[in-house]
This record gives sequence, structure tokens and C-alpha cells, in this order.
Amino acid sequence: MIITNIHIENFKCYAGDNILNPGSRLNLLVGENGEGKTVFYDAILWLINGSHQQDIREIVSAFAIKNNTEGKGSISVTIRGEDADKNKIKLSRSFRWRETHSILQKDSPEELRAFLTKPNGERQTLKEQAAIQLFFPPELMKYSLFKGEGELRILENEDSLKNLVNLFSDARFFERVYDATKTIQGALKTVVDRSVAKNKKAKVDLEKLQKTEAANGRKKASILNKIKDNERQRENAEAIINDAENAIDKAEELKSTTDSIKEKKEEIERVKKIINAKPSLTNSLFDDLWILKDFEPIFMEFKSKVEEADVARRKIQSEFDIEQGRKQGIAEGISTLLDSEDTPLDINVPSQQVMEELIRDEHCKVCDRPAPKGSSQYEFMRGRLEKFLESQKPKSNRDIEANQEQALKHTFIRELISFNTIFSQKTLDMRELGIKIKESEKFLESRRNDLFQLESELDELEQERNNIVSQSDDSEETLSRKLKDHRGASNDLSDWKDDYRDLQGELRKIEEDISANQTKIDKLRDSSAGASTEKNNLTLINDALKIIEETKKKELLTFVQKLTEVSNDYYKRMNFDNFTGRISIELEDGKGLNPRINIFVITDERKMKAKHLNKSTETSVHLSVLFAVSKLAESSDLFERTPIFMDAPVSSFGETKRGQFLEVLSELENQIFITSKDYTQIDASGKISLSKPLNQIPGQNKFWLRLKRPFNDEQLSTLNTEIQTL
Amino acid sequence: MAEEIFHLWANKVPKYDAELKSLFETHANYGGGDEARAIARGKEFEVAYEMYIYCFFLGLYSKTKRAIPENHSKIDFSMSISTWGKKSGRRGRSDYFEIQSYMFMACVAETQTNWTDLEKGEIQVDDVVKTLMKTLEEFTNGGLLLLKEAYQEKPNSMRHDSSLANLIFQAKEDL
Amino acid sequence: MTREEKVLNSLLQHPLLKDKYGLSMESQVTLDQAMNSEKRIIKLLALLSQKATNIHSNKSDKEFLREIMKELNS
Repeated sequence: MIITNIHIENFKCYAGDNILNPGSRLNLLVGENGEGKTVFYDAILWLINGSHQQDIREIVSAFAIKNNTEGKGSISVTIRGEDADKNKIKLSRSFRWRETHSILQKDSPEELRAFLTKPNGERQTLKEQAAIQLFFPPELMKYSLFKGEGELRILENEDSLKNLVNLFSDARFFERVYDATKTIQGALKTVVDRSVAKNKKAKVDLEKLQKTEAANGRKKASILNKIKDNERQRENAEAIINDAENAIDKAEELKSTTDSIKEKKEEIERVKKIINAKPSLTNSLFDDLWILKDFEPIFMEFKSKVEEADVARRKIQSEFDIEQGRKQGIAEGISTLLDSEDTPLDINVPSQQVMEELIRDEHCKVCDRPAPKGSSQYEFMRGRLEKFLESQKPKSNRDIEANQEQALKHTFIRELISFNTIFSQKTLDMRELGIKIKESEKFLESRRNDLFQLESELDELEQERNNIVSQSDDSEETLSRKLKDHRGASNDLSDWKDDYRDLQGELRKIEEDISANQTKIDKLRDSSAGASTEKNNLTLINDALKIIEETKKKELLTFVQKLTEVSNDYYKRMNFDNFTGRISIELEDGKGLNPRINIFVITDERKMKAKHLNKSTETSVHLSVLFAVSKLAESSDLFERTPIFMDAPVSSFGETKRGQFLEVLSELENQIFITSKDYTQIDASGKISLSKPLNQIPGQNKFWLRLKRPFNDEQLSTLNTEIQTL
Repeated sequence: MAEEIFHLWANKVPKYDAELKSLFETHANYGGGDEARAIARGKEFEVAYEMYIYCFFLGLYSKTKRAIPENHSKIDFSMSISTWGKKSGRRGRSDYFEIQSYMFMACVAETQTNWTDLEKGEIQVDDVVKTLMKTLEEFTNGGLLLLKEAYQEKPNSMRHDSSLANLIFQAKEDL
Repeated sequence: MTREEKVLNSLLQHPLLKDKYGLSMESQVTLDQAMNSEKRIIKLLALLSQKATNIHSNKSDKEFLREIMKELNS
């Protein structure tokens, strides 16, 4: 049966009509936690099982109730499918609801309706259970619907594996044949014995042998009981040991998670420190002078205004000096110099020290030209130095008076020039600010994202720890008791194993005795006169019985081997490069017609039970066996392929393994529905997105289940999941 | 020592439009304090003059010079420019000396002044300082109006830690 | 091949048939062929297979027993 359409209406967080058209192979449903993946699975379960004890408010969408103007509506989950004969089947569970005065109640009874439409158009109504079974046969339901990794453990239950065998191998038919044959054998034996009893001596002998047979029978029964007891004791001991080991595992798991949490918190603190060390942007504007990022053009304007003013000032000053110079009758030579058209530099430029060096070296280092003694350049330089030294001399009162007249009253322009000088270099540094600021922002942004990521990882770890803690209600006391019990149980177990061996020995012996006695009986029967027909028939029946018993055993073995082979096929594909041994499904000896079936994993010649392995290996083992079951179910002609639903079955897998697992699944011919939270991500601002490009996400058909934004996760009535086909 | 025009300018108390007082009250933390207190009170600026400086540069970069209307009264926060930036517990000299200098240079750059007349004493230094202050106040006013607009029209974009920085960095681009 | 035939053919592979009865089953047999076989063991096994796999059989065990006995004695 292939599901062709799933329609969820007003069920929990799926308000309105939500439709999913799946493909015939792997359908991957991705989404963030809490946005509808598990509810999708719940919808299917509700379709199959109905509401039972659930309160109506737990099922009907709060969003729909709130937003429905008429105060009433309906809720339904419908699946449509097609079988191998091209019949179309529709299965739907629904009821109408109404809300009056804040009370929500059913407006119609909850019913499950099913229709089958033949290829020729003929339509028939199906009975509820019949319809469900078309999609999910009860025998296979255990193997088709899984909520979380934990539920995969059903295979550890001995009975379930036995059921499997009974379901799919032909061995069960042989059992019936055997039973029928045994009945006949009994009847024939009676007849033959009657004829034997006709001979007095033979009668006596027969009775003796029959007594022995009965005694042997009882003895065998008693041994079998002891063996049963022994098995029970061993199972108990193993359970205690397992329990203790699990508790230890849990304690270790808990410790490891607690350590991870501690590490994660430390990392978070580190990142927070980095973020907080950076001052707020507003502070940086002032403290780091980021506010001056775009100041350069303004400075340039300032600079040009100041330089313009300075040139004007120097011109005025120089005109004044020239005038003064003339008034004071300074030497011609210098006066000529002062007469030059160009606006001279201030007298202290270059500085005294520089002037002295230029003169000493007889070289103008500004224009890089020699100024040998006696040249006009040399004289010019010397004149300037003299003028400067002159200006430095303390003036006599007379001089001061004479110089009372100044060219300019103030020195504001010079003040502005000093600003120019001081801040020129600084302003050049401002150019780098733009880059610095951007880098700083980028750095902060990515630290913030890191922080968000770390915090959500921390949430997950804490969730995990809570799960571990809630799963084991072991107090310290209980744990230490379990450890003590473990020791005791281990010792007992080895004793019981010894006993078991002894008992097996006894069993073999009694069976030999029974066999030997039986031979005597047979001989007696043979040698007796009469009832030859019955004797012949009895021989025939005995042979038939033997054939049947042994063929059955063979069948069982063959099936188990087949199961092992197919399971390993899936297991290898799932594990790809990482060698994690091979699966071995084995029949336990000596249990007559119903031997125990165990699943082992063999690695490097060490044999371990699946449940004692690490979680992800255990899960892959279980999944492998399950897929093998599905394949065998299909080839048994008993069932059509059924769809498989798994809600987050591989959360313990790492990314690579998960990818491999999903690849294996997409190669299977089964229609599979899997949910996973690993292909979406959520960032600091709450925006969700796919964490991988679409073509890297496995599956023929992919769907994204997500809540419509905005929503408040504390208010059910704001929750509305939508299904997006990717 | 001759008086410096910078100090004359810095000793002034700049004013702003009284109608924009609420803007200061909403975004600047009066009554002294530090970042923690400002955050606790939900104010972006730790002190009023910070906001003043910010708005000055905002107006400056976006070339938004707006005269304060004649009929509006002007108020101030009684602190001269030279006192801006002194933070107790920090180094002694005014910590905003550089910023003050840049503000001064901007005023000079953006004000028409005949410097040689001033040097010659033909115009009074007080008058020049007055015009520089006018430039300061008008750019600040422009910035305040821009800030007010930003809060009113795009309140969501102003909620982030980086909003103010972004606003001022964008000023040049938005011309 | 029906289920009964499948079961029967599995049974017929048992070595005892060769060792004791000298029968070697090379190809698959149908139920009819087996029921009409001259070899009683084969006939018996055919009858037993039919009984066992026929889950909707209306015959009671007693009836079935009688039927087998009749076949065996014929």
C-alpha cells in the first residue's frame, strides 16, 4: 500500500487544511523542534487509534477555535492510498466540534470512515478495522510506527522476534503438521499396543517398558522444568546485571553530559566576555572617536580656510616688516631680500637649529642645492638667522616703544595653524577608521551568532541531561544497591551457567534413555504378532514425524540465516566505512521446537548482545533488522509493503552517519516517512532557514514543517503549522 | 599669554530649541551617572552633552543646518563646552578635548569669517565667537530634527545597539 | 506453487526418504502428484501438509485422522 495523500485538518497545531503529497519512497520531513514534526506523527496515530481518553481540547487546534467566527468547525485526518491492484483506498477519522460559552464539545460522534474504489470505478465501504489493516496490518504495526529511537528496542523483546519468525517463516506450518502427525501417532500406538498385549509375556514386558517410558517422561519433564527455572534465574541475574550496567551507563552518560554542559557554559562565558569587552557602539562613537569617521572633508575645508588666512596674514606682516625695516635702515642686501615679491615665511621657520645646520653644511636641504660660502643663497640663509636672533633679543624700552606699532593686533590665526598642524596627521588616521569600524562590527556580529549557537547547544544539552535524569529514577542509594546486586548477580550467574550445563547433560542422558527405551518398545511391537498393518503404519508415521521435526528445524534455521543476511546487508550500507562488525541472529540450542532467538553483533571475534552496545550502533542494528523484516514480509506474499513512519529515529547519529542512513533509506523501495530536526537552523533573531542547500538534503520528497510567524509558544492559539513542499 | 579663540569658544554654553527638550529627556540620562545607569533607565546617551555632540555631527555630516526659529525659546544644560567630557575617576584633563577641538574646527570651516580683519582688530573676537556658536547651534538643531524624525518614522530600526552609529554613518550617504 | 506444495516439497527433501525409502526427489511435485503417488510415505506427507496448511479446514481432527488412516490402509 502506498500512501498518496495525507490531509490534516485542525489537528493540534495544524490549523486549517494541511496537505502533504508524499512520494513512493523516502519522504523527509524537516523542521525545528516544537514546530509540528511529532504532531504529524501523532495525527497518524490518532487516525489509527482514535481519541480514547484524550480531552477534546488536547486534539482540536486552538488556533482554529480562536479564529473561527462561527464557533464551530471540524477536525479530521485523512490518508489516501493505492494498493498493488490499483484499488484506491481512503481512510478518514473526523468529528465536528462547537464552542459555546467557552465550552468545547463534539458536535458529532467521532467516526472512522473508509472507502475502496476499484479501478473500474466501483466503490465500496470498508469496515473500520479492515481499512486500517490495509495500511497497517496489526502484526506489522509494531514494525512500522516508531516514535523516537527508544521504541526501536522492541526487537529486544524475545517474544517479538519469535512472532516475527512465526509471521514470516514457513516454520509455523511445520508445527501444525507436526501436531497433526503426533495425534495420529498416538492413535496408532494405542492400536499396536493392544495387539502386543495379546501376548502375556509381551504384555508384561510392554507394561514394564511403558512404565519406564512414563517415568522417563516425568523425569524429562522435571528436568525441563528445572531448565526453565534455571533460565528464569539466569534471565533475572542478567536483568540485574544489565540494570546495574545501564545505571552505570546512565551515570556515565550523565557525567559526560554534565561535563559537556560545564564546558559549554565556560565557552559561553568566554564569548560573552569578548562581546562585553567591546564597549557599546554609542560609547565607541565618543571614546574611540568613531564619530569622526567622516570628518576628513570638513577638516580639509578648515585647513584651506586656515591656510588662506595664514597667507594673508603673512603678507600683511611682511609688508609691515618691510616698512619697519626701511624705517630702521637695515642693510641693503637684506632689504633686497625682504623686497622680494613672495610672501616670506615666518622668521622662525625653519627653526634656529635647522638654519644653523644648513649654514654649517653650506647646503639648502629644502631644495637640495648647494649654498657655498659667499653665494647669494648662503647670504640669504645667514641673513635670516641673524634676523631671527635679533628678534629673540630682549628689547630695550626704547625699542619696545618704537615697536609699539604692530602689524596685527591678535594671534588667532597662528592659533588656528597650530590646530592645523596638530590635527593634520590625526585626520589622516581617520581614514582607517572606516575599515576598523566595519571589522569591529563584523567581529561582534559573528561573536553574537556564536553566542546564540552556543546557547541553543546548551539548551539541548540541558534537555538531554533532564531526559537522562528523568529516565532513571535512581537515587545515589539505589545506584549503590544496584552495584552491589550486580556483584551478587554476576556470581550467581556463573553458578547457574554451570547448573545449566549439568542440566543439559541430564537432559541429553534422559533423552538417550527415552530413545533406548523407545527402541525396545518398537522392537517389542515389531516382534509381536498381528496388527501388522498398524505396525507398518506406525513405522511410517514415526518416520513422517522425524522428517517433519527436522525439516522444521531446518526451515527455522534457514529463515534466521536469511534474516541475518538481509539485516547485514542493510547494516553494512548504514555503516559504510566504519566497521562495526556484523549482525548475527542465532537460535539458542536445546529448546526443542521453540528455541530462543538472540541478536548479537560480532566484532573482532567478540560477541555482544545488541543492547550492550553504544546507542547509535544499537539503533542501526535494530533498524537493519527492521528493514530486513519489511523486505521479508513483502517477499512472503503475506503482506503488501506497508509504509513506515519514524519520528526522529536517529538523533543519536552523528551527521555523517545520519546522512548515510538516509541514503540507505532512500534506496529502499519502501515508502518511508522520517522526521528530522537536523536540516533546519534558527538564528539569533528567530529567523529559520535550511541548514543545507536543497540538493544536499536526502530523500526523493522533502517537506518543511514550520509554525507560521509570529507565534507565542506559550499560547496554543497562536500555533499554526504549515507544510511546505521543498 | 594672549587669549585663545578656542578657549573663548569653549567657555560658551551652547543652547538648543526648548521645543526639543523632550527629545533630550527621552534619550539622554540627566543627573550624571554611568553606562549602567543609563542602560537601566533606557537611555541611549549617558549624558545630555553627548547627545548634543552626536546631533551636531549628525547635522554636520548630513549637511543639515537648521536655524532655531526666532519665536522659539532657547535653553541649555548649564555646562560650557570646555566642561564636556570630564568623567570623574578618569584622567584629569577633559577627556573630550579632541572632540571639542574637532567641533571647533568644524565651526571654523563652516563659518564665513574674515580672519585677517579679526587679526587686525577691525572686528571683535566676541562677535566671531558668536557666529561660530551660531554654526554650532544650527547644525545641532538640524541633527536633533533628523534624530526626532528617525525615532518617529522608523522606530524599529532605532531599537538596536548599533542604530545610532548606523544613523550617523549613513548621514554622508543619504545626501 | 501453493503453500501446501511448498511445505510438502520441503519435507520431501529430507535425507530419510532417500536413505530408507530409496526415493530421490529431483523436481518439484504438485499436491495432486503426491496424493496419487504409489509411495505411501509421500502420500502421507501430502495429506499431512494439506491438513496443516489448510487453516480454514472444516474437518475436525477426528475426521482427519480417519481419512488418513483410510488412505494409509488402502
